[in-house]
Amino acid sequence: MKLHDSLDHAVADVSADLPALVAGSRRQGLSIRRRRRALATVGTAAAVSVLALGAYALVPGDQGPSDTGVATDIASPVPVGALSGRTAPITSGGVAAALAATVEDVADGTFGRFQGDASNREGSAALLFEPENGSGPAGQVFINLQPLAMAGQAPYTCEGYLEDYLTDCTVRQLPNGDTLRTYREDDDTEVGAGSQRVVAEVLRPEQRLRILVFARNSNPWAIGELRARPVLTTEQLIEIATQPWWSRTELPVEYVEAGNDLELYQN
Amino acid sequence: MTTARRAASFEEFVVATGDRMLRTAVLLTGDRHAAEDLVQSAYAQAFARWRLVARADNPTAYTRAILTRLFLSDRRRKRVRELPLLAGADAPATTTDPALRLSLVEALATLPPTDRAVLVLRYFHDLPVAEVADQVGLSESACRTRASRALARLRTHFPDLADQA
Repeated sequence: MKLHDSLDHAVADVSADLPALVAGSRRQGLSIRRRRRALATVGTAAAVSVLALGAYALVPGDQGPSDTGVATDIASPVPVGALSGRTAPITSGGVAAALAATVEDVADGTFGRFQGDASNREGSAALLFEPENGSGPAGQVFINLQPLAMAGQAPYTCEGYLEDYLTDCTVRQLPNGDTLRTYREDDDTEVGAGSQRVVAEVLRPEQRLRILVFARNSNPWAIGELRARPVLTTEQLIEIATQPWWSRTELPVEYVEAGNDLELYQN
Repeated sequence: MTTARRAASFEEFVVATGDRMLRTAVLLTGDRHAAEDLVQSAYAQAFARWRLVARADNPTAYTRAILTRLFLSDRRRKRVRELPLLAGADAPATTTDPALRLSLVEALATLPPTDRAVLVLRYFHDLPVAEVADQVGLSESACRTRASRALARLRTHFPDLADQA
């Protein structure tokens, strides 16, 4: 008898109470979802200072709380159901809800400080995310939906694109014709030594769209505090950035509707 | 797709894969109750991100990877004792060689968790070395070394496995 057969034999009479397993898993899974959606205490005491993230970045508000950064309770920032395929005009809340939903799809953790903006046929959103694992402050996750021209001219490569402080650049063509570019930035002079930012960028000629998603190991409300790594990996950012429904003008209706109920942090 | 349809789809998935997943967990943990917890936790995580899991090329492999990760990282933070998942769990074994069956699970349990996972994925699920290595976070060469070492240890309990693995 081979090991395979011995192992098979050893557990041959093990069977699950499937209805109970389904019910228990659903219940526990719903609990995980609720926990993810609970707006957690993120960041720590820090003076609120405007942190320039570039011309298209959202910045901390100067009217927001400068203490522990607890947002108001939001029961369900993202829709529970799958996407219907219907779309609606993009909104600030919709971008934030879509970002939250996609982060939720790829990682376990808690969320806070949603920010969003949709104007001039562009969209952007940011949120703080605190993964279940590791320690340190919540990290900022950010998305920009911009005109493709913001990425320069095709062909999109690493050469001539990266400044000295951007490293580990990779570029590859996706089966649908999009270009995926990833890179990282360490020791951002505006965030401080030890800061890390990982970026995934999808360049979608068909829609004249640039989707740029990044995650930090820090957040603007906890200056000087750093996690060991950014709160999302490059692979997770790629999963978010390659969603086919990102657009500068419309989003899945479920996210737009969820965004109507999402209380955005004042900015 | 509605929430109800998604739930039904998840239910079908658990029904189709639950027994095999639980057997995997028993081999990994060596303990029925720990296996129940582990499997439920793995399916719970799959449910929590069902959109992503259902889209995966192989949802079963995806969920098994969750289960393996949970086992290795020991992230199970609470035991869920309310669900007797093993039908007839306390019933006497019906195999013709119960001593061997019990001992093999026990012998597995003496191995380091990573070695255990390597053996279970490699020989119970017949996964390629590259896939096993990826799931347990080892290089392929390290995975082969682990498998070889773990088999050698098992052979001290079951010499008959020597030429059979």
